[in-house]
Amino acid sequence: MSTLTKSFIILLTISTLFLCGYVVQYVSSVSNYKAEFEKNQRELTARQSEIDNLNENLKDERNKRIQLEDSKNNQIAALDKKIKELQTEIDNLKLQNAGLSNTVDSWKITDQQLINLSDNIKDMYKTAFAELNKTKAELASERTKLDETSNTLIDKEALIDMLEKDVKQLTEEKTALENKLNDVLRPYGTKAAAQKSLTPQSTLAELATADTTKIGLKGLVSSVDMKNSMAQISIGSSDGVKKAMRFHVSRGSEYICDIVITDVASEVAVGMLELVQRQPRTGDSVSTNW
Amino acid sequence: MSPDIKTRPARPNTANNVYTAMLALAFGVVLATAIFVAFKCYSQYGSLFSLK
Repeated sequence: MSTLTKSFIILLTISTLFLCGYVVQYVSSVSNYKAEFEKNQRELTARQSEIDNLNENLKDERNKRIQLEDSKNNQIAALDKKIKELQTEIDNLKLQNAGLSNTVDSWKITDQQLINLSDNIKDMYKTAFAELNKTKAELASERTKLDETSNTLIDKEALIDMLEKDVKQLTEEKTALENKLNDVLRPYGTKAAAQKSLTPQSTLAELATADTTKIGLKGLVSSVDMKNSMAQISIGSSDGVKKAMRFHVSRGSEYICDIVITDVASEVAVGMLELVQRQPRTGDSVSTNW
Repeated sequence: MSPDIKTRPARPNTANNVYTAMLALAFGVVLATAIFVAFKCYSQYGSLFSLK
């Protein structure tokens, strides 16, 4: 074997060792590109699906945001309307507040007036209280006088009772006298008039003159009985006709006779004919006074 | 006349075995490297010469 061959073998062996060592080192340290590609592919798919989900979520969020914007716009419109209403109410309340402020001012004035009035009332109360004390003292003295006057009044009342008994007795006697006077005056068509007292009550009684008034009854002759000299007239006790009354019978302005009543019914009366100048007839006028 | 063979001694040939061993080592290293690369390619890519 030649030296050249030996040298070539040695170089070949050495170069083979270095080259193979480098190849082994490179292959050992090189990355697994397929695995990385698959890993990146899976990550890409996952990212793509995430992007799709995010796009869907974005769409949903956009729809929600649009709906939310619509609802918010509606709420804003409602709130604007409410703000306008509240502004109107605020204006009204301001007006009311101004009115109430005026009222409060007037109340303040009234309060001041009431305070002044209260002061005046206090002064008046003090004055009235002093007057009350004074009046109480006067009342005590007046009460003493009243007791004395009461005792005097009791004595006077006893005297008045006695006088009243006398007055009652005199009144009864007066009534009896009036009845007697009426009985006397009745045939003449008159009666006793009511007497006016000429004596003041505080003075002694005085005598009154007797006076008469006309009775003033009028009627017609309803029937005539010349045989018995009797006639019937158209008025009775309901009109005030009493026994012994005298009626004058007339025909126009001519005097006929008198009728003295002897019997009285409620609607008619019957009497005797007296002083007959002419024969009475049915329909002639009768009256108590000529 | 033929040469006398008995007068020449036998020459040792150990040097040739050394270089043969070096060549065998080089061949073995290349072979091991090829096997290692092939294993790596198959295990990582599933084939020796193309991507599936």
